[in-house]
Amino acid sequence: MDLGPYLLFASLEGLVHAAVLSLIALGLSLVFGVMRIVNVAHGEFFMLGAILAWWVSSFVLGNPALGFLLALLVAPIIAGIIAMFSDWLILKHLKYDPEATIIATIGILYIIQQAALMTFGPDARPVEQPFNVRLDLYWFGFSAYKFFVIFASIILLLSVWLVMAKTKFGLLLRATQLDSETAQAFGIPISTVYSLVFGAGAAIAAVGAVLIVPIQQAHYLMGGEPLLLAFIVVIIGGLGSLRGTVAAAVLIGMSDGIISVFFSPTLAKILATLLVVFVLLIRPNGLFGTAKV
Amino acid sequence: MLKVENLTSYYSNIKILKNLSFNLEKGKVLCLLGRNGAGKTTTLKSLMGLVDKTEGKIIFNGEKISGISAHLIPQKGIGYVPQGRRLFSELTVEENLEIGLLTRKKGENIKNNVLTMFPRLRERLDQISGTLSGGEQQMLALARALCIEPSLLLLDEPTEGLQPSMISLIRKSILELKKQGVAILLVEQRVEAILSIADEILVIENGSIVYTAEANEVVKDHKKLYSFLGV
Ligand SMILES: Nc1ncnc2c1ncn2[C@@H]1O[C@H](COP(=O)(O)OP(=O)(O)OP(=O)(O)O)[C@@H](O)[C@H]1O
Ligand SMILES: [Mg+2]
Repeated sequence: MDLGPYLLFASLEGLVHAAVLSLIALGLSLVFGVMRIVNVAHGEFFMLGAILAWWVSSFVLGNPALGFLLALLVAPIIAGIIAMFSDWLILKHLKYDPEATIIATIGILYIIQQAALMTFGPDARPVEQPFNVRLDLYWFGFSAYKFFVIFASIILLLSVWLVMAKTKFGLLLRATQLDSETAQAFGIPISTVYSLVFGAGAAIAAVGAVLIVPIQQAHYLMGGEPLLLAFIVVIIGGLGSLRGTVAAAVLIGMSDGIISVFFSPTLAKILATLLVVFVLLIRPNGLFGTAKV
Repeated sequence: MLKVENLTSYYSNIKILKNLSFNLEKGKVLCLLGRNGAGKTTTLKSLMGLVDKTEGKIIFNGEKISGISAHLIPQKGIGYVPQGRRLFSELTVEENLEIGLLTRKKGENIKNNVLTMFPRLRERLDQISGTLSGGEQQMLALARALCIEPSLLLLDEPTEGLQPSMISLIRKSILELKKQGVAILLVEQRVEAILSIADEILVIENGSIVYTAEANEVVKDHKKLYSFLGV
């Protein structure tokens, strides 16, 4: 393959990862933005989404699209419920103290990880692609499913943006984010809001996992890398900024994809980390963050 | 209408308020005075359920509201204008009012009434509230609280940092609300700003009530009040 087409191929691969990464980072950013807590267990909800996708779709024999659709519906809901349960059981009692919740979510990380290992075992689990079509792009063939991943991520990102910007529930979230005490004084039940946001953050990451798992396989240790990348994205994009999160996810996801294809995945991670250092030095609030966040 | 009995409040186990007791009737203005750090804001926050831990009893319209979740208090009909306004500064004027209307069903009517009271806000519905002038921000803070259609209004230094014409507008609004039968608990620093509209005066020092008086008594004799305030 010539360099041009090869670069296009690498960019498309990068875009698929960027799409899923922006979902994971969006969940992390939403939770931090509204609740002011750093959810170290976020990657485990992603992992749960992937493993549950395998588990759910394994019940549906015959057409793999059916199992996939069922997984797309059920896995995020279960991941969200588990997140809400851990919020109710643990975070709430820490009064969402910024430091205590970091330690607590590290604990949640290990509990979920070990529970997944004990329940589903150590093997990597494949999920069949819901449809197996290759699009001929003249120089190379590219899986139509990967285009679907990009498309579905964009739809979900747009819906989250719509909910935040245009609905009453979004208004409650933004008010809670700006001043939770005053929000309560006007009748906003912030503990319910927190629980829903924590659940939604996990569910969005789980959707990303269900989308990627037909390409990548599910494994109980798969939560670590996306957590790291999501942190990088959120730092570069500016905490709590939706626009910044998407822009940074595309930047990191694409360059990760391209550099991995041309050079090595390790170099890609090194460069991403260097970029974080650079951004923190130049613009400590992220490329799109405001000083107040 | 509001009955506070032996209210004691803590911030992380430090006792801030000590056994406050007072009553407030419909259509009356009770003014809370005291030096910086005396516990005036903490008193209002305790009424709103926003303090870590409180003891004692708060009874509003015959119902005990101490100990219930903070977000349930506004729907009982208590409106709150916090110290420093605490607008949702990145939201528009209209969105701030929407938040005020959350507990009310027939929102459009209420919003209209409130905007009739503050026409300047009607012209600026789409403006980000953080970019309003100080006076406009205070209007919005008051308007947002009025969206609750409160029968009790808690005002924490509503004239702080305002010029005289703005102060007199706020005073006029307070008198108007009082005429409508709203009970008002007003925190103020400047005595002269409130003497003419208050019915009763209460001075707090170190979290305890040290002086209470009818406003008309104080009008006749300032000396005692001033000695408590150290002015
Ligand atoms: N969130 C908090 N945590 C700990 N202590 C607090 C908190 N808020 C207030 N305090 C303390 O409680 C005391 C009373 O504070 P409060 O804000 O009620 O005073 P105030 O009478 O409103 O003063 P000012 O006139 O300056 O507004 C102060 O000593 C203050 O430091
Ligand atoms: Mg105060």
